[in-house]
Amino acid sequence: MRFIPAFFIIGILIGSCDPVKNNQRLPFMGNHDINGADTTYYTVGDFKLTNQDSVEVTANTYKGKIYIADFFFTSCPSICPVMNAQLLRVYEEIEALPNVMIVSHTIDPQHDDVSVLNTFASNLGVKGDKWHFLTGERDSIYALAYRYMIIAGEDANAPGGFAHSGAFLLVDADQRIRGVYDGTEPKQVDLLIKDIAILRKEYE
Amino acid sequence: MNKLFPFFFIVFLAACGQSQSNTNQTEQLPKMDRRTQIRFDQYKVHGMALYTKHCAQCHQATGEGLASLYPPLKQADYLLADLPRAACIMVNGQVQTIKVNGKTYNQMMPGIQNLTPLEVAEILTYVTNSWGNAKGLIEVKEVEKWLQACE
Repeated sequence: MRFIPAFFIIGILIGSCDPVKNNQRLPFMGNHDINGADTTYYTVGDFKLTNQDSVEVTANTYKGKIYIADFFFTSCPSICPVMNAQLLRVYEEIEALPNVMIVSHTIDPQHDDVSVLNTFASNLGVKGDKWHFLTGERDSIYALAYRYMIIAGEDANAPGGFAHSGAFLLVDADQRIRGVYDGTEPKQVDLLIKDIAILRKEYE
Repeated sequence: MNKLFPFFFIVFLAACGQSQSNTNQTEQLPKMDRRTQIRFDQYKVHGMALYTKHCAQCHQATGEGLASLYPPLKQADYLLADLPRAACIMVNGQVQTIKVNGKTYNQMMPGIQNLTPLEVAEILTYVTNSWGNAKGLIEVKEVEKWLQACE
């Protein structure tokens, strides 16, 4: 009799091992428009920025791609290095996956021009087209951050002169935000990696 | 050969003594009296807390740095070769390109101006006595002198 609870527990443990439950679905962030039977979900909307290879990118560039978005700056002394170390983990996970990308936006475009971002990317060990580092007009980056539901801006009191959230956003192939994670917390980033797998199932 | 034997014997004994208190040190710690030893241990504990707060984001808790962005401190020639320089960089930051263990790094490091000489000594004691580094206690008196002489 004493063995039965043990088997029961082992059964539960084995059951919980399944990495992606088939019926699991990530939430949609932001306001929905419900019109009869149709629901229109919040999308990030269009933007025009430049990546570390001097290529102009818009919302269309990432259409059909799942991506992780964040906001940082290269001379950031506080949370960005942690975020980048964590994103590097994500990068290693998604490197072999088709149609999954990382999109990092600088909030210090005055300093972080294309060549600074290019050097930064290669120093981080990023090759190819899997991880974009975007720069552009300052106000449009801050406005875009707002549309990603992120706080970013100049702040003389913040270390390095810019205040911003350390959030990672999981964006689906239709530009809808499906998850928000604290990029400075390894456990949250583990969750993000799991959620990428769940989200990929939707597009299979 | 026989004359060398007692010498080796002492080295072995000393090594045994080391391995009890500091298991992962590859270098030999300088000999310390009891009071210095206590201060050394205190500095390391405080230094670790300060390191975690101010340094580990970039240089990592393991002291290994990150990719080609942030250089390692673990058995880093650049750090261990010049401790006065390291103290100055900690406080004033650094913008120039440097070479650490044969690899080039050019990411700017911000200084932490409000560190006290004691805190600098504690962080230095921690980083130069962790991950295989073994420089012994870094005295606050020395650090004060070093910081005054920064360029």
